[in-house]
Amino acid sequence: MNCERAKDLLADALGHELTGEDRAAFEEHLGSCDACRLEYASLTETLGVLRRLETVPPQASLPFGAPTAGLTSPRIRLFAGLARYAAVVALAFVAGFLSRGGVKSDTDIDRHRGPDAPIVGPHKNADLTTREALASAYRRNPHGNQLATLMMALHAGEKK
Amino acid sequence: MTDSGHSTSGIFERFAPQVYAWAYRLLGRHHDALDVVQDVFIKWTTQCRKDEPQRPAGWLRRVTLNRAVDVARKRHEPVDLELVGPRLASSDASPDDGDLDTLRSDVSAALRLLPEMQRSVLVAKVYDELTFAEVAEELDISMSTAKTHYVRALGSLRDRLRNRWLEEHQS
Repeated sequence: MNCERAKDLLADALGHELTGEDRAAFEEHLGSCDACRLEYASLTETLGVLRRLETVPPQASLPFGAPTAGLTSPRIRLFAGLARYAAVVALAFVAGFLSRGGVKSDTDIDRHRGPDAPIVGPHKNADLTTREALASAYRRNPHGNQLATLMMALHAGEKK
Repeated sequence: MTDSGHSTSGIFERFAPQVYAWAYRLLGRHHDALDVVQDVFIKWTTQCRKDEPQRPAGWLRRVTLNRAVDVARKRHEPVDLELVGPRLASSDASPDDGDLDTLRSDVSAALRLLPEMQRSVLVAKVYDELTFAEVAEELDISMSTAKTHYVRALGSLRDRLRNRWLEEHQS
């Protein structure tokens, strides 16, 4: 066997897939060729280093299960995150709107509550105003994003 | 290996420990490996729900190893082994836990520096103990190509680990 043939068999030898006559001839060649013997020895030693790390620390159990088909893709998760954030903002709008009684002008106060009624605090007319604004927004954009519509409606309500 | 018709949960149960092991070998950190497991199976769910790869193990190994390399890159870890400490290996050295951690870190870094196909072949052959025929089928390459990648990968690792972990071979 010459070095060229030994090189062809090197992968099989390192991969423990060299058998029979080829193996005997390969070993015989290593016995007589320093270069091939050194190459084989150094790569075998490298394999030995890799195999010292064969055992991976057990991960006990994975702290999560298989992803479900719902909120799985990064894009969907991003939208879900944004929707949650927007919901918080929308709730803050609602809370702020209600705490101001939904009344934006002295004219409104006079019309719905009278000039002496307290301005601060929830008022039953506030709900009406919000519902009306929402209904109006839905009429204008019935297939739109509900959360965005709600926010637009509330924003519009504030400007009234 | 040919598998088909698995549900995502079936694939997860079957391969999650292996995906974790692949990731851990390249990263050496439990939590980073867990992140990779999660990313890989989310990718599986989004990309393979309709068009499942014929060989899930091959797909998962490739995606896991690539993802692990990305994670390591984002950590900005040093990968130049020449810069890391003095040589520790000696002919009768038996590494204690500290040495083993260092060895794991060095090997992980060296594995990450390999070209993608060499890395996949080496991990499949050494750690998953596939035959060259199985590696070739899983990665859709010829057996001779798989063998070439294997020897080249080992040669690259030897050159990168030589100064710290391998003996000097004299003729």
